[in-house]
Amino acid sequence: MASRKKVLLKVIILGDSGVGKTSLMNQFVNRKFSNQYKATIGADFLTKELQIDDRLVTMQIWDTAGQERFQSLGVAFYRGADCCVLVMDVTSPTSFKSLESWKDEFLIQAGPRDPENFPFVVIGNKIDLENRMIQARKAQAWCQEKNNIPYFETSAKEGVNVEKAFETVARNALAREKEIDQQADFPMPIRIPQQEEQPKKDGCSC
Amino acid sequence: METNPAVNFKARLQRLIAYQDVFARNNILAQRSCDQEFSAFLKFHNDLRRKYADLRAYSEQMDRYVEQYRTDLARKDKKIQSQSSQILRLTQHNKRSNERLNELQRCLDQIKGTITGQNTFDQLRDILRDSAMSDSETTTDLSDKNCTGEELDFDNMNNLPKVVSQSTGLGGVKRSSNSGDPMDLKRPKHDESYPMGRIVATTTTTVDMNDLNNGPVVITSEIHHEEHHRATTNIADQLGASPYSNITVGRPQTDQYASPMRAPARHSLSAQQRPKQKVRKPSRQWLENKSEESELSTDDIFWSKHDEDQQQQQIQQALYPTLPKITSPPSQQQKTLTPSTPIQHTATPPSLMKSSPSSIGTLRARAHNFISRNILIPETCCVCLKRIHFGKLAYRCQACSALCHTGCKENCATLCLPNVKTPSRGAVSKFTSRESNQLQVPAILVHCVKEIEQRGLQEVGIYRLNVVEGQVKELKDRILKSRTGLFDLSHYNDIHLICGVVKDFLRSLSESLLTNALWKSFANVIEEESDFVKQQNFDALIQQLPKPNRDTLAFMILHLQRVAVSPLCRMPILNLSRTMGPAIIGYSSKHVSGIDIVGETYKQTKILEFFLKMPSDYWSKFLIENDNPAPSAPVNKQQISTPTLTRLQHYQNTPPTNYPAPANTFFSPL
Repeated sequence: MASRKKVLLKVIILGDSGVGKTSLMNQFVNRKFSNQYKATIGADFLTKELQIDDRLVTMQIWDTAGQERFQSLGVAFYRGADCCVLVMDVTSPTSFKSLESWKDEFLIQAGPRDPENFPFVVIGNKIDLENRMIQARKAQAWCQEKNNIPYFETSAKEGVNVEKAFETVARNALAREKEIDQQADFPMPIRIPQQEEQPKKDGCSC
Repeated sequence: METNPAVNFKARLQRLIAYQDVFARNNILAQRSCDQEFSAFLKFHNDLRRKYADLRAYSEQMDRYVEQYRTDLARKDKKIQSQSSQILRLTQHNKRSNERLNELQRCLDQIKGTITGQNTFDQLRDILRDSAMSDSETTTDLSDKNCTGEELDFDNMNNLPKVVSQSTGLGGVKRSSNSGDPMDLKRPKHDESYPMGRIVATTTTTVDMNDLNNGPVVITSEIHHEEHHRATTNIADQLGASPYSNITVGRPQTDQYASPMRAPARHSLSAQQRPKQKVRKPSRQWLENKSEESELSTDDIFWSKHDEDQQQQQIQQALYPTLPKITSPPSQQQKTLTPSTPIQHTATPPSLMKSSPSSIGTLRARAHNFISRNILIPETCCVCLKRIHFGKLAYRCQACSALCHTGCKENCATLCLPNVKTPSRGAVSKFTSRESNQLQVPAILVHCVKEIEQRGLQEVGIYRLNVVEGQVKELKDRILKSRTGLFDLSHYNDIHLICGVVKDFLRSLSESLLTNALWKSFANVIEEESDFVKQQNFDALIQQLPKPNRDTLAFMILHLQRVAVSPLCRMPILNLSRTMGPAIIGYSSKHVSGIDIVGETYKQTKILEFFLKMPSDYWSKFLIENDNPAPSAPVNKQQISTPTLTRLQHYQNTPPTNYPAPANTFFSPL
C-alpha cells in the first residue's frame, strides 16, 4: 500500500570515538575525506538519495558523538531509526569489544518493535592501515552469532566498500519498512469495554 | 551666384574655427599646461582602473559567497523538509494517541463508576493490568515511527510520573510482577511469551531513559539517608559538628548509576543487597578497628569514633603542622613512625621527573603517616596489590588510611590526600575535604590527573578514545570505595582507562560543576558578543560557585590546558571542549531531555572552549590563594596547586620521550 510513496530511512551510525563514523558518512554522502582529527559534537545528519531497485529512497544518516555513550543525549536521536550501523576500527580491539554494548544500548534507548530482527550492519573501518588487530574472521564470527548481521570492511579514507555497505543498509531498512507496513498500526484490539462489563455483573451479583 | 558667397562664407567660417582651434591648442602647448593635465588625467584613470579591479574581485568573492550560501540553503531546506514531514507524522500520531487517551480515560471513568466497595483486590488488579497493557501498546507504537522523538519525550515525561505513582500506590501489583523477573530489561527479546513482563519492561525502560535519577532510586537513597541520620544524630550532637557531614560519613556507599542501560537491573540488585551490605560493612570495619580500640561496642560508636579520629587528626595537623610525628592520638598505643619515605622517592623516579613535562610531577606528596597494625581482616596492599593475611603486621596511614605490607612501605608512591568517606553519588562537595582552607578537589581526580600527566601527555586522542565500559566502572568504584588507599594507578597500563574514570566520575556527580542554580547564567554569558564582557561576567559567576566546585573546575581546566598544548595528543582546545564538555560543564540539570539537550550540548562546548582559552594564571589563582589565608594548615596545599604558564613553553619544546612501562604489569583490572 505504501510502496509508491517517497521513503525516508533514518540510519544511525554508532561506535567508539575515533573509529571514523564522521569520515564514513562524509565519504558516502560527499565523497570526501579529511585527515583532520576532530571530535563530533552531539549529533548531526546528512541526507542522500539512493535508487534501490525501482524505488527512490532518501537516507537520513545520523552521525553521533562516540564518547557520549550512556548519556541521555542518545534517546532523542535513536528513536524511530530504521537501521543502525555499528562501526569499529580494525586496528583497535577495544572498539570491537564495545560493539556489543553499543548494540544493546541502542536497542534499549531506541526501543524498536521486534528488537530481535532489527536490522544492524557492522562496519570494520580503516582497513587501509597496516597495524590491523581484528581479523575479518573474528568479526565475521561475532556477526554471525548475533543473528547474522551483515559485516563489511571499509576504508573511509580510500572509499573502499563504503558505497556497498550503505546500500545494504538501505536494503535492510527497506525490507523492514515493508514488514512493518503490513502490520496494522494498532495490532491489539481495545479490550477495556469488555472488561468493564464483568465487574458490573459481579457488582450486581454481590 | 547667391549660393556661392554662402558656400564661401561657410568655408571661411570653418577655416576660422579650425584656426581658432589650432590657436587654442597652440596656446595650451605653449603654456605647457597640457602635460600636467594629461598626467593628472592618467593618474585619475589609473586610479579608476585599480578601483574597478578591486570591485571586480570583491564582486567575484561575493558571487562565491552567494553560491556557497545557496548550496547551504538548499541543504538546510532539505533538512527542514524532512524534519517537517517527520513533525507532521508525529503530530498525527499524537492526535491518534490523544484520541486513544481520551477513550481510555472514558473507560477508566466508567470503570471507576462501576467499582464499588465490595470489589475484591483481584478484580482491581485485572482492570489495571488491562489498562496498563493498552498503555504500553501506544507507547511502543509511537516509538517505532520515523521521528526524532523530542515531542515524544515530553509526552513520556508527562505521562510517566502518573504511571509510577500509580504503581507505588498499589505496591502489590507492581511488585509482584517485578520480582517475577528481575532481569526486566532482557524481556523485550521474548515478549510474546510473557505479555505481563513486557509491560513492566517497557515502562521501566522509559523511566530510566528519561530520568534515571528520579523516582525509585531517589526514594531508596533517602530512606538510607534517614536511617543513618537517625543513627548518627546523637553523635553529631556530641561532636558539635554539622549533622550534614555526619550523614555523609555514615551513609553506606551505594551503587553508581552512570549507565542508563544497566540502571534497572542494578537497581533491583542493589535494593536487595543494600541492607546486607549495610550490616556487613560497618561490622567488618569495626572488627578491624577493634584491634585498636576494644572498648567500642556498637556500630554507631564506630562511626562516630572513626569520624572523631579523622577530625581529631585533621585538627592536630592544623595545630602541629611541623610535628607530624606527634599526630597519633594519645589514647592509642601504637608506635608512630616517622614520615616514611623521603620526598624524592614519593613522587616518581628521578629520571621520569626530569622528562615529565607535568608540573604535577613535581608534586610533593605529603608523607604518609604510617602506623603499624595487626590485620584481622585480610585486605589488599596498596603497593603490591597482594593480600595482607590475617594476623600480619602492616602499616596503615592515619590520614588517608592507605594500607600496605611492612616491606612495601618504602615503595608507596601515592599522594596522601585526606580520605573522605564518600557516598558514590552526590555533588562534588561530597567528595572533597571539608576544611575550607584547603584545596577542595576530590582525591580521585587528583590521583588520576597526576597519573595522566605523568604518562598520558604523549598519547594520541587522550580523553577522546573509549575504553571498555565495565573496566571504567570497576576502577572507579575500586578507588572510591577503597578503604586501604588503592590509589596507585601505575598498575593500569591503559591510560585511557584512567581518563575514563575522570570523565565518568565528573559525569556521575549529581549536579554539574557549574551547579544547577548557575548553569543557565553561564549559558547566557556565553551568548555575549565581546570576549571582554564574557570574561568579566564569567569571573563574577565563578566567584559565586561553591568552593569545592570552583577548585575542582580550576584544577581540571588547568590540567586540560596542559593537555591541549601537548602536540602529541592531537587534542587541541576545540577537541577537548567537545569531548570533555559533557563531563566538566555538564547540563543544567540531570533531567534535561529532547531539544534542550541539543542546545545545551552546543553551549557546554562553547563554555568549556572559552574557559580553556582563558589565561592559566587566572585559574591557578584559585588554587594558589588557598595557601595564603590559612597559615595554620600549610601541610599539603601548595603541592597540589599546580600549573603555570611558564610550564607551557616547556612542553612544546620537550622532545617526545618514551616512558618506560610501569614496573608491575601483572595486574589486570578485569
